[in-house]
Amino acid sequence: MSKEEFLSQLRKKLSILEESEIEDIISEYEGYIEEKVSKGSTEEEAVLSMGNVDELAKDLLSAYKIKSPGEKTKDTFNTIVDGCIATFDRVVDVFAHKSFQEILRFILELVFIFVIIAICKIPFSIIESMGKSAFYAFGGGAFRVLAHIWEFLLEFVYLIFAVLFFLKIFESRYLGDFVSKRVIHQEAKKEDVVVEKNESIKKGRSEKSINLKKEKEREENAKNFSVVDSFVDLCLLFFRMIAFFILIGVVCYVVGMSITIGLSFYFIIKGVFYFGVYLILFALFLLGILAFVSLYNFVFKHKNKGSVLLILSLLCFLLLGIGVGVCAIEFASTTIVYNDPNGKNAQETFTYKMKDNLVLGRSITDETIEFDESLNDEIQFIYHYNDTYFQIETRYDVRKNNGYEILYYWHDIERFVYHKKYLDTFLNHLKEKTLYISDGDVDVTLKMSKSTYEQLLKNEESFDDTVKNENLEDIDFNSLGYYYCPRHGVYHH
Amino acid sequence: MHNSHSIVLARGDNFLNTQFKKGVLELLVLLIVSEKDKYGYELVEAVSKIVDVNEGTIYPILKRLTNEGYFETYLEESNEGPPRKYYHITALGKKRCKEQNVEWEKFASSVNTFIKGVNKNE
Repeated sequence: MSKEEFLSQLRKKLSILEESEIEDIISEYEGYIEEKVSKGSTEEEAVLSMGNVDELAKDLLSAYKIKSPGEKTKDTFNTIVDGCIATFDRVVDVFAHKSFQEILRFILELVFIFVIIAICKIPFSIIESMGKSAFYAFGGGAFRVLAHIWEFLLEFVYLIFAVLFFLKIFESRYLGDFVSKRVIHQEAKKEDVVVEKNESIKKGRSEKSINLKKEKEREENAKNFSVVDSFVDLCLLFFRMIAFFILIGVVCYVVGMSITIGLSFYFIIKGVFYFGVYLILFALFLLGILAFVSLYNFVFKHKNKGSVLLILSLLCFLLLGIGVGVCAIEFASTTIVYNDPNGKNAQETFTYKMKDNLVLGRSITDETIEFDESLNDEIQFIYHYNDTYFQIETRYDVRKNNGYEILYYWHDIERFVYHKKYLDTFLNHLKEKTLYISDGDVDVTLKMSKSTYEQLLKNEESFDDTVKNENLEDIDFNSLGYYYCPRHGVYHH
Repeated sequence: MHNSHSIVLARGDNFLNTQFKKGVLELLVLLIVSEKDKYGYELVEAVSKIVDVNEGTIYPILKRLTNEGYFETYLEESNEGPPRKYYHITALGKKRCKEQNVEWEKFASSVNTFIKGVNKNE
């Protein structure tokens, strides 16, 4: 490579820097090469001795605290937060600088300690229950009190034991032994790097023997770790697989939360201000994103920036906490009207022509009846209800049984969410921070002439007698579609 | 670098962990400049006498140390060609040099003791 080629390549790689800086660097390198050439090397040699252009560019950019584009660039989110966490970074230094393997091993060992502590509970429990039953054997009164004291004492001793045991193990594993092991491990690595002058002068055979020695040393160190490490690797692979499946779920969660957030924007546009709820939703959304990012990085082996994730998730929980608080205040300031002042303001009606063999699905004695002679042989079914949040539709069905016609009647509720009209009402109420809660009761009133009523009563009695004499188990309910029980009305089968 | 802890570092990345190399090179550059103000190529030559490195890698270190305020630069005319940029160590740089030096001594001596111990056991 010629000097010009080298310099132009370098210039291209440094293009992110200011022009004056690039000029400065290029002229410096030009100077190096020229000087080297003037001292007797060829241009080719001089350029070669400068090293790899990519490496150089990376080093140079890092001198400006810029990461070269070849490396994974920080996302803007991280950059913003980076400033805030500089101080915190120092506090979590220990954890932030540990690799995932180390943290995982730490967790595994922690779980192991807890399992041991849990197993130790068994002998304690045995002694405890034996002592208790011994006390109970002596009889009641004071001995019962003693039994409870005994129970309490043993639980207390176990608690003390567990805490002390944990502290002891924790201290020796992580504050003493763990650290020293790691230091040896690291030293074994660094050892390769430094070779004392007098030793390397000998070169040849002796250097080889040094290498062999180092290999042995490393192998010995490795033995201490190999079992744990391979187990950790296996676990890691397993966790990666699980994390992948969780990731799929998290993606769905994030999509769902996005839709919810979109919906809450609709609410905001409509003038409904429940910031607590929005804050909670937003925090949950952020948590989902965080979970996604960390899982993604974990599954695809990118490095997780532990401290950033920790800070952000703490932030999310803070938001969540504030959200719950605000939510409580907002809900407290919302008036809930249990009895809608409008009362049962809406009604739906249908009429059915009376027949000689007609029986009502529900016992006529349980219904509210109004007599109206003007109806002649018609029966009018009137449904009263409150239509603030929903509308009903009346339904009826006629079935034949034992020569009788049975009229089943009921209503279906069309819930407010399905109708824009009811959604708008709901939103308006939320805007005024007032909610009407009606019990959703629908009152049915039957209007008919007195003679119709008497006829129905008579039909019902004779029908009930017919059904009573019949073995109910013989009725094919599937073909009926309904189950008729004389005094309790109709049940959908 | 005429003290008892002079070392030779082998070329090649299989031996030289880059991070480690950077640390050592930084110390060397600091020490050389603290003895006498030097211009770029002079420095590169001085370092290559001690450590076998790509000559291009020294400049980024100079740049970084300057950006971080350990060095200041000034231009001086030269007989052969354009003016040269000289590097001068600042008070901050001297402090940094001292710290790095102590760090290195500690590190090198503990590694040496360890290696000697291993060799004795063989």
